[in-house]
Amino acid sequence: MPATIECRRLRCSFPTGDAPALNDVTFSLPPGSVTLLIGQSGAGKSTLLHALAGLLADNVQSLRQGEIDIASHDPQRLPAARRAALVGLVQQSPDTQICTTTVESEVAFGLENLAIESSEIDRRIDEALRLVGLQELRQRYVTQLSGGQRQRLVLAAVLAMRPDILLLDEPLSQLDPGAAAQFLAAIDNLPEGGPTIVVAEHRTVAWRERADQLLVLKEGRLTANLPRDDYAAWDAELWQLRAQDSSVRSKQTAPGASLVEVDRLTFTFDRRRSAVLNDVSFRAHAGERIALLGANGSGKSTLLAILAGLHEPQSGTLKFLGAAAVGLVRQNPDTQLFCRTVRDELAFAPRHAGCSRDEIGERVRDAAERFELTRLLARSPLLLSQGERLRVAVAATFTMRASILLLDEPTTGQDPRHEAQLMHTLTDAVATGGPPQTLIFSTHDLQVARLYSDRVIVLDEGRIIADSAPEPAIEAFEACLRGMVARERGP
Amino acid sequence: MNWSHALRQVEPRPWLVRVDPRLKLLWVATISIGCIWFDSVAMLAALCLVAACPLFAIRFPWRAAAAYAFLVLLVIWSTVSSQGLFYFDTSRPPLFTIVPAFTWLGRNYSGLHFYTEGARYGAGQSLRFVANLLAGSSVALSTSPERLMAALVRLRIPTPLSYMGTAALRSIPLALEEWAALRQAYQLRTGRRGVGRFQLPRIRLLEELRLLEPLLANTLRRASALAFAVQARGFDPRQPRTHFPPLRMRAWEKVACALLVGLWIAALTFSLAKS
Repeated sequence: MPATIECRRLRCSFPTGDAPALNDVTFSLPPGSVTLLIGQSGAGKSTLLHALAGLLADNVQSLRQGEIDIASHDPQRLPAARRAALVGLVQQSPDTQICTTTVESEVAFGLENLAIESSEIDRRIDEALRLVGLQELRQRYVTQLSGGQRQRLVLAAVLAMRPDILLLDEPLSQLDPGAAAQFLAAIDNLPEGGPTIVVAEHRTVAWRERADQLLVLKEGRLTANLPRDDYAAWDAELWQLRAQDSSVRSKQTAPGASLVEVDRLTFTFDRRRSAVLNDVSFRAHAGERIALLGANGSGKSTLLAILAGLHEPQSGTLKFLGAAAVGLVRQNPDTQLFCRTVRDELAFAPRHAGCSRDEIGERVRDAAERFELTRLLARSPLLLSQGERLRVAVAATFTMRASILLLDEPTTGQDPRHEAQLMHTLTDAVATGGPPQTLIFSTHDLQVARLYSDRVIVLDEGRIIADSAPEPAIEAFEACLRGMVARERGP
Repeated sequence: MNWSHALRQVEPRPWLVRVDPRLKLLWVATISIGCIWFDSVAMLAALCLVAACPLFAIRFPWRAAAAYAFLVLLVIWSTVSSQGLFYFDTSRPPLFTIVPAFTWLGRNYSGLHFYTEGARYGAGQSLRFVANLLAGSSVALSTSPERLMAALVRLRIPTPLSYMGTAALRSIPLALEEWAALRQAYQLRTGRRGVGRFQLPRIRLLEELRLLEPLLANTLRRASALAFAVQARGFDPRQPRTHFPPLRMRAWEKVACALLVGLWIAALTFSLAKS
């Protein structure tokens, strides 16, 4: 049964924060409604969702005041199983939410916690997997699923518990457009009388048609509570940073000398399986900002890893011209930081390159200023927020002064402001002659490709299907995605 | 060698996967009792062979199998060598002498010998360890953490302990994956790209040690995320929960369990009678 959500004068604060994460938040959401929650990073969106899920006190020391009323219950006061049956939560990254190893056991996990009988669990697993289109994959290992399938699996695991309220915390942010479309299709498939939905999301476009209400949070305060009709104004405000694209494009330069040549490159991890990259050829020139587009598993990350020298291609040639040095930043910053302080992290590459003390100091200062890390130089990178950790990882590679900088999904999980800041810094550096002289980045966000690249390469199942200026290449990618979604849905 | 990649390629035969995990745990316990019970090197070596049997029903990538065999031999060789050289019991006839006894600056030195008793003691200790390692890894590689947890709970191990144990087992491939990623990032930032790079062992060891801190931080972060996820899904170790699919022992598994328990009882009776 969908339930009403009543939130009255909610205030949450953490011992580490100066200001309360949520301050005097009051709203009411009707049963069965879909509400979109927007706000910049740190505005309190996740805190609000965790408070609604009754999960604040369990994990961090927090002080919560005010009232939350969901179907006449305060979820925080309920036992864990009853709370989970009342409110389901789907978060940003599927990898941090999956509790077991197979599709079947993942959906069963929550139902086991509700102490449901085995025959009923079996029935509910079937029902939930059918709802999200994963019924064929019931016996698979979770590691065999794509990112999009894993996110749908988490949704199935939550839906199987039949919650009255469904909370979605940026569920699309790590998905490519095809996977996002399939996730949204699963939401659209929810039967009549489904749960009341609250979704926090930066990518508002996908939810515009689906949401009945819009909540806007700013620095912990609810600044607007609007019906569907007023969306346009709020969209405009949220995306205003991205609208700076004209300033990025104005610095565009004509391509210079060729820096890297890839010719008929083929690569496979396992010779018994099909090639991850097949007959890939292109050249990258100084001054170019190249976006790699493609669905999950299309070979984007593998191509970047080969360019960085992490894998040897089975055939084809890869030629770096001149003294081209390569730096690679991967999507997860946590596996790229290993020094005691941010300063050490930034100084690591120049120190290993044998730079003088003055040169190292200059590079660290420059990178810290560009990526707004100056005040964090003495801190441990492991204790920073995720956005800050990513900026440190990028800055630490930036100090290598590599002529070719490779970025694997650099904007994943970043809010528009941080995304714009990071990409502006890098594209500006390329436009002003570098280093880096060339930027090659993979992304699943078409808007990022539009704004920050002057050339787009589209990969599909390891082959280049388009290599041109952004707009025509993006059109080719969208056509490819439509085909993929249609194939998955079947005749 | 990429260990996380190798672990993902390990494929146990379906019949071994289906064996009731309670029987598998009983099997490991029986091997452990055997390790206590037997004293002769020959019997312990035979026990190792028995413990290794289920591993023949698991397909390994050949490089992983070779590395595993090397690890086992390394354990045996290093324990035998160290005990052979430094065994300190009174009855220790030397098998051979490496450095004979000598006098230097007016002091007598007894030399360096390799003792038979020490080698035998080292062989026994290492074979005990190896037998448990083989039996334990066959269970870990052929049983899903969920089924293992269900079995532990059914064997009356407290739910929090069972969950912690199986979650730790599940996190091994993830930790290996993270370690590989950290090493790659380290190499990229030092400019040492590509396969076949050479490094002095001491430098390499220092580099590996340097990665432990972020690895630990990431493990803690992942543990915290997992704790949040299981709570969001209603997990409470103090509350009763069901298991899906429910564990059901087949007839032959019940017979095998009875045989193993019978073996325990026989061993206990025999040892009591002997004493």
